[in-house]
Amino acid sequence: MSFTSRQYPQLSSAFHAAAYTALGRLPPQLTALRCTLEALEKLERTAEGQESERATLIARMSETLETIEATLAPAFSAQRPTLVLDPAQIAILREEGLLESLAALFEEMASRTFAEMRAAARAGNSKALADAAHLLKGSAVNFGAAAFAATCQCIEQQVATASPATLEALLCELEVNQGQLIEALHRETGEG
Amino acid sequence: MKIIIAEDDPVSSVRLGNTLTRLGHEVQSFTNGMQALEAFRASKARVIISDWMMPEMDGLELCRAIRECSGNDYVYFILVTALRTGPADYDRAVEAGVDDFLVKPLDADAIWRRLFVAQRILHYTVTIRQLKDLIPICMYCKKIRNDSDYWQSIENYIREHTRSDFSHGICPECSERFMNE
Repeated sequence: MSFTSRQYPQLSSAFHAAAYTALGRLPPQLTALRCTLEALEKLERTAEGQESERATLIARMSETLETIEATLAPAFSAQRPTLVLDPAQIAILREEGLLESLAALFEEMASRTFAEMRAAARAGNSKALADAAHLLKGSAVNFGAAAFAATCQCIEQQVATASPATLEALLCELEVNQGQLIEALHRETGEG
Repeated sequence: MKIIIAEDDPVSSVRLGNTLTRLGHEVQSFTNGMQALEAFRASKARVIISDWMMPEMDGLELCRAIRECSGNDYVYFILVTALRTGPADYDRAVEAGVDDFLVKPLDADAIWRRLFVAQRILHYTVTIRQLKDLIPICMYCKKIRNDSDYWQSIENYIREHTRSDFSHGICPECSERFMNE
């Protein structure tokens, strides 16, 4: 994986979301990559005319990403939960006759709570953000939504120390996870 | 059993409430510790199942408050925790008075087992209280057997257990009986 400086503008917020989330789960010695990303973002906000510095940062970032891909990615992907829904949990809820009602309850609660998280992030209210992430995590585990719960956990743990850009990226990822989860719930309940 | 649930997550609360009702329990659900405490004061439930992190009053604060106001009736307190709760957190919880734990996602079998134990413990606490309330007294000399298996005078026993003291006098019946002898 490599980038050129011309490609930089195409590095969308989705890429940042994925990169920051990955970094949050990698060993501490790889925080160098986070620093490079942050430097790059900072540079992006400053005046133009620093193309060479930008190119250097992008090159450094590409190099580190390649290292991660080559050496740590297998272990990383093994650790990272990707499960949108756990069929076993869904079967239990279905058997208990609770699947439809709890799915509807979750959908309503999750979208409201996510809006509150966005507001808390804008206001810099770390505690409210962590509490909301904790609430969503506890709710999502009822469906065995491991990927969604892991992102919530990540927000809950990093909210006090993460930069606004990192939080924004994590919220983006959570929004994606939430969309996937709700879509999967719709499929299970026959609403999709 | 009468059970109070304190859980701010509506999904977990409905799921837990449903499971408990199916197991034949009478359930009252609240979204924070403060509401649950007020309900407890009014209903005197014997089992509380509470989430840890909640607005207003969290699970540990609720547990401490219940221990303070429950009096002689023991209340069995089960704390619901997240998967990654660490040993130090569990230590804090038991120090606050928590009896047992349930981990999310809640499992009906695990809930049944916890409540089975809860019922047994609550039964023992009632038995112990009843035994404590029974005072063994000698039917002849009226001495009382204390906790160290020692027979002591009723005056000493009451003094030790109530911190009351006695002023000695003579009742009219004894006065008539003993003064005439």
